[in-house]
Amino acid sequence: MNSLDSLSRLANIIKGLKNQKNKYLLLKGSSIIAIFFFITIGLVTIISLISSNPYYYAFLKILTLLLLILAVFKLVIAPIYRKTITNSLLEELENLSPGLGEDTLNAVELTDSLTKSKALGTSEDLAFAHISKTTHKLESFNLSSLYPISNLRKYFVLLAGGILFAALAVIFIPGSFPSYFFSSSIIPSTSGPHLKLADIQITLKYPEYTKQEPQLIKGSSGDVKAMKGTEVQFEAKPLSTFKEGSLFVENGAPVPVITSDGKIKSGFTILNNGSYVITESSTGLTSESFMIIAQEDRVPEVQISSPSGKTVELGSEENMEIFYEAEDDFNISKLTLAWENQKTQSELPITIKKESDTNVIKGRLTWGPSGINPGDGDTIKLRVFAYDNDTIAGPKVGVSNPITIKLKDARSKHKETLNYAEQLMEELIDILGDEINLVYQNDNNKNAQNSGSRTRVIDTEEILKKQKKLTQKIENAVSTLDITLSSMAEDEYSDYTFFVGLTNMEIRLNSLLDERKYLIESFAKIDVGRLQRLMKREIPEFEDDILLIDSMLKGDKLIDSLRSSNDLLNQYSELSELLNELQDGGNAEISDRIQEKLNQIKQLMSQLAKKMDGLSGDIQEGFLNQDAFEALNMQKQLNQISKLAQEGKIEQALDMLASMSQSLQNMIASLENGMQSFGSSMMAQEMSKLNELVSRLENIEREESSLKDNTEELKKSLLENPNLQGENLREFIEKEMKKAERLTQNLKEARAKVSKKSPLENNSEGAYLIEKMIEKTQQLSNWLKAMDFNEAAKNARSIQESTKGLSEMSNLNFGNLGKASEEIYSASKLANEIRNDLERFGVQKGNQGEFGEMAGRQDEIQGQTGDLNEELSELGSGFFVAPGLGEKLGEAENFMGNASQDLRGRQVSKAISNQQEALKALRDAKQQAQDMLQQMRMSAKGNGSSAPMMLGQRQSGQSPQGTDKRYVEIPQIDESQVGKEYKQRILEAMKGGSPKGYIELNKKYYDRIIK
Amino acid sequence: MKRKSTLYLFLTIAFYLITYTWCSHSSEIDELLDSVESGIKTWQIRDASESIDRALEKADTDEEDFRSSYLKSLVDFYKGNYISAKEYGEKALSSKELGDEADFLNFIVAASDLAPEFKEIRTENFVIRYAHPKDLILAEYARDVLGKSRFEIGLDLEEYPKDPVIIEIYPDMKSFTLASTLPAENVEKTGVVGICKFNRIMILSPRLLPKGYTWADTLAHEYVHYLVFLKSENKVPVWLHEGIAKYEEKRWKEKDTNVISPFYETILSEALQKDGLVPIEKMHPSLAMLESAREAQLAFAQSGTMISHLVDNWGQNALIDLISSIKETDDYQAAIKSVTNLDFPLFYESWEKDLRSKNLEEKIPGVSVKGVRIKNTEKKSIDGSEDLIDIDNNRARDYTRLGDLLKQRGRLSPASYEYEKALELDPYSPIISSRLAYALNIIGESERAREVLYPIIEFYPSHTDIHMILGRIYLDEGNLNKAQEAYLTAIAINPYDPEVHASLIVLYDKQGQTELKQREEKFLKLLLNEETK
Repeated sequence: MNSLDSLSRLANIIKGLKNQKNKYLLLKGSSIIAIFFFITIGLVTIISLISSNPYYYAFLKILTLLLLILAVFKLVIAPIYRKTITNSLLEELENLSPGLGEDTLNAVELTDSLTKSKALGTSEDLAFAHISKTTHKLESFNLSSLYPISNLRKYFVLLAGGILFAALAVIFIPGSFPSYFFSSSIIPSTSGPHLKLADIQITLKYPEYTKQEPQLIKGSSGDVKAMKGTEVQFEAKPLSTFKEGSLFVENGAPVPVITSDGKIKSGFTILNNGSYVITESSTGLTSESFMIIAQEDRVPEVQISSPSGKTVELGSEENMEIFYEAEDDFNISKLTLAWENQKTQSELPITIKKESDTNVIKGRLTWGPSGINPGDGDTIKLRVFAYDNDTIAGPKVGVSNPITIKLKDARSKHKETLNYAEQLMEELIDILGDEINLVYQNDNNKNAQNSGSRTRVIDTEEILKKQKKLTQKIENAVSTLDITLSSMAEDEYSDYTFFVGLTNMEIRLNSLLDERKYLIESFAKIDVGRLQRLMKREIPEFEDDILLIDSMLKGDKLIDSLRSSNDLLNQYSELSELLNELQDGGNAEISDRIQEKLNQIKQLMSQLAKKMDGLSGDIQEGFLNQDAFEALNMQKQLNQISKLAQEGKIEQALDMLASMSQSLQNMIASLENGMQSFGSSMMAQEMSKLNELVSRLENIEREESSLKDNTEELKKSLLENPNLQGENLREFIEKEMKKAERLTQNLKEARAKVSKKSPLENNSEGAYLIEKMIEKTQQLSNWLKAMDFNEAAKNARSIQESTKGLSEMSNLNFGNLGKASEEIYSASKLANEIRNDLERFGVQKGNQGEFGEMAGRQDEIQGQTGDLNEELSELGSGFFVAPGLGEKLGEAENFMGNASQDLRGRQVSKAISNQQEALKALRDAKQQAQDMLQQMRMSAKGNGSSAPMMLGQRQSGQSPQGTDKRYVEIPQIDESQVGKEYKQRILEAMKGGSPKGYIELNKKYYDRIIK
Repeated sequence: MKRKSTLYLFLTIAFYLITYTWCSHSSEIDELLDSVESGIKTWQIRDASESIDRALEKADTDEEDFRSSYLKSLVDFYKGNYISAKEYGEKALSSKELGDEADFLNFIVAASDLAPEFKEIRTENFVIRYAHPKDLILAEYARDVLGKSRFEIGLDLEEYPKDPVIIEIYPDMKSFTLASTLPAENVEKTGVVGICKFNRIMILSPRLLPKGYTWADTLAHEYVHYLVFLKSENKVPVWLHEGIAKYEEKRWKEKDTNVISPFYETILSEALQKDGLVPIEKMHPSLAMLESAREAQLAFAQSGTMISHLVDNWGQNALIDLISSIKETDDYQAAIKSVTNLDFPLFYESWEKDLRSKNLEEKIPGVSVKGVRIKNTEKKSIDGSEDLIDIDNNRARDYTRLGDLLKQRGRLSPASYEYEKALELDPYSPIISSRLAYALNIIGESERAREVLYPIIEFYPSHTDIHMILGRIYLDEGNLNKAQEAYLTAIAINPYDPEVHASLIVLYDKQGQTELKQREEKFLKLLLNEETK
């Protein structure tokens, strides 16, 4: 076993030694070859200077390569595979330890004999013993020292020197041999001997749109890399004589080369990748070829960052905000928002607002699908397109990530609203029935009581039980109403007028409900009468409410039929197109589509027929033309069209379809007519009320305006007309103002003197008192300006008394006042004068009768306004009256009251201000009423603006009626607010009860007056 | 020479004979055709028919052929034989270039071509035609009405047609206006729903009006026209025609005639007060052509009362003599004079004086006279609101609508409360009254229901709902005769309401009238089947 182990160990040692040797030889050979290579390169580069003949170059290149190959063979391959390898190894071993080489040789041979079963010439044991001994011996030596790698270090220096030599030769020795040598060409260009150029200088002038500065590249290799459209100016020093020549761009026309100051100059524009050379015409020398790398302008990048999702749900009348970001390497010249749906596609330019010098544009825009007349459930794809300003290759377009807009199914939302409204109506009818029954029973009971001999006992428990049940029902109805309103607020098809009507209804119902709850909570026998009275007020309320909802639902059914009719008409049109396609040589696919369309039409027809049947009788009989409905029996005609299409009789089918389309249009016209008649009839009463209201408001406004004019006249007359002293009011005021000014001046001087004190003194009271006087004097000036002589007189009196006090204090030198006794005295004197003047004026001031008369007139107008407001609130009713109207009238009433008081107090300027405010409130109220009237007129025509969309948005597209609907100049409401918010605001305002912010308004108003 | 003379004589005789034969043939066919024309003009259609058949056999020349075809077309049209009328009409139209005849021929061809596919019920004296299956009910009831009319009015006017009179019930407005030659707007404006023309009576099916109309009176009215036409050979002027028809139209069911209903009293008193009577001259050519339904009704009232004045003061025979005299003289003024011994202006004056002496009152304040509103479909609206539009007072209409909404939900007491409120605002509205009475009756307040209905029935006897509700009240009370009377009155206005027939089944069952009960069952089945179709 040991013997066999020795055999394998010996074999391993020998193998390891061989590998070690090979590795050593390979490294050694490579090092020598590298040294040889670099020295050769250096040498041939030098030798290449002898001639620029390409064959010479080729000879040098081939010679060098052959030498290199030879060297590789001689220095690497041959030593490694030399057969004497074993001998050499044995020699090395012998050198390491005398006899070791021979022993090893014997051991190897014995091993060979043993493994190949050759004759040993000795015993096996001896052979194994020798092998084992030799192996052991070999193992005892450090065999790695036989081929020390460190011996190779001596070559590193030589290699570095070689590299340096070659590099210096290549860099500093002119000529193109090195580039040729390292190229794959066997023979260099034969076009002629190379034109040697030195000090190449390139100037790059970038295209103008890039707005980049020109770039100068000195010591260029001649290769250029720049954007397409860049102008290249080439400059170099020819190493040989250059008389004239040209610059040749690959696939381009030659450009003459100019010589100047021993330099040559030329240029070209980069249009594509390629190369260029310079040729000297007289000698035919051509420069080496320089590369042209044409860089492309980058395509702009654009991205929609918000909305972030891929799909967004949006109502057809809603708007959304889009945030985008666009970037280009140079500049974005145009941005557009593009959208497309199944039918159309369009683009809208986006205004670019560049905030900085960067090439990044970030922006936001508001977009809504209302302008493109989408259908419910449509999907629209939105993208932002960014165009750069590349004038060379034409603008490049970057396209953003698409956003898919899924339009909400507004009709199903509307259906939901109607379901709520229907439920509400059911609840209200139930309540009305209960109320009537209860009142009716009670009345009967009373009658029975009166006629009967026995007195009937009032069972409060029973009454309470029934009333609680009823209250619960009313609460439920109010809650359903609330849901209905919320649903309407989200519903694009709900009518604004009805929305306002229902909102008012909610307020009234809540008020009645509160009253009811309060009554029920502490109900006693004594309250029976009150309860009866309450119910008798509730009944008309519920009646009106039911009628309102009934009208709404009836009208809506009409509109719904109208919408379906229009859908049907569109389907006809699509069918017509398909038939035309079939006629123009359609295929089986078109035939299938026609059949499919026919089936769709049949389905729509049947739906429409159902809707028409569902119309209330009074609408149908009263307003619609019955002949139009005969056309509804079109199913047979459709079958006929289908048959004709199948038989290829397209002309006939088209004729028939045209006739059906005409019938349907007649029906639509009838429906529109019906809608308008029904709407007008339904709203006639409300509209006439509103009309009357507007007219009365106009009267009040006219009267108030006239009164204000009169008051202004009075003011003017007071100002202009001379009094007993021969001076007019204006002169009087001016005179008093001057006095007040002087008074202020005196006081200021006094303050200055009083304040001049040493830091140690402590007498700030005097300065403080004077300061207060100055303030009062300024107030006095203000009252005089406002012609409020009462206040001015009061103020003057106070100043006079205070200055008198100051004067006395100055005598006592209180608070350092003694220093300004003179000024204080003068001030006191002036204050006294002003006081006397004003008091005298008060006595003389005439026109008492006129003031009283005007105040009386103001009271009358206030009364009219109050009456109107009261009627309005009683109308409560005013189903469609906007909520802010009463508030505005209240404001006007209040201002008028103030104006009246002012007139009585002869405060003419203040009165005018109040009158002005009253007029403003009246005008606002009138505006609101007129807006509402306008809304109602449109609603009556079936074109009422929908609850959420409205508010200042103009819309494009066709209405279901085929007319330009809803293009109403809608109320003067903050246009920035979307419908939903606005309605929410109305809801909140209405729920809030009394006019919010009224006190604030008054405060502001007085602030303004004082100012 | 002698031979020559003999030959000459022979030729002369032959020429004479030929000429005579030809001339005698020619005069015979002319006579025949003239008699046909005369027969058509006076609606002696049986004679005209015999003559035209003979004329057709004898016609040799183109001209004769054309005239015969033309008149044959007319005769057949007047006989109601539309297929033949069309055939001969087309033949006549193609035979030569036509003058004035062309328009009428074209009309006959078109009307015959588009005539509804009638079915018939024949009696000894009438051929009642109907096209819509439901109109069978009307035709059946019409048999009774016409039988009574023939007897009573025939007695009054001493006229009985020899041939069966054709009655046609038109199923739609289009076919009616085509056949009657009345423009649709006239029908809707003046409310003319029946006409006696072309030797037949044509009426519009009451199915087409939301609440029907007094079709039985209309049939009787038109039958009077038929008799007057025959009796006077079409010489009585239109206004007088209408007066006689108005005077006689209720005779089929009433013994005494009273033209002045509360409605007529109202419009007559107003016209007398305002001197707004319709001049006799304006009543030409037809009352249907007057400006409004109100004016037409006033004209009916005037002419009807004028005949009433004649009969009241000069006896029934005066009316018969008047017609005969007009036939003789073709001058109604002369005829009046011969009958009354008064010049027409004096007669007119005496009528007006008589009318004024009656101190007529505005019985139904604010009555409105509306034209005919044709239903677009037979289906009733879901909420039964189709007649609300006829309530002029907006608030009353609102309360009625509220009542309807409550009624639909079974809240009849509250519904009656709302109807009461509506009635306060519009106290004479048959629409509100009938709704209120209905609700009251169901909740057991039949007394009050009757109180509501009684004043109204006098004002609006043709409002079918009133009779229906009364019928129900009587039936509930067990007053079978009264109930039957009310239901039959309702049927005489609107025979298509299944409820009437259902009630009559109950009623006849109680009365043990099996045959009538079976008839009603048949009608009910017919209606219900139609309804469910």
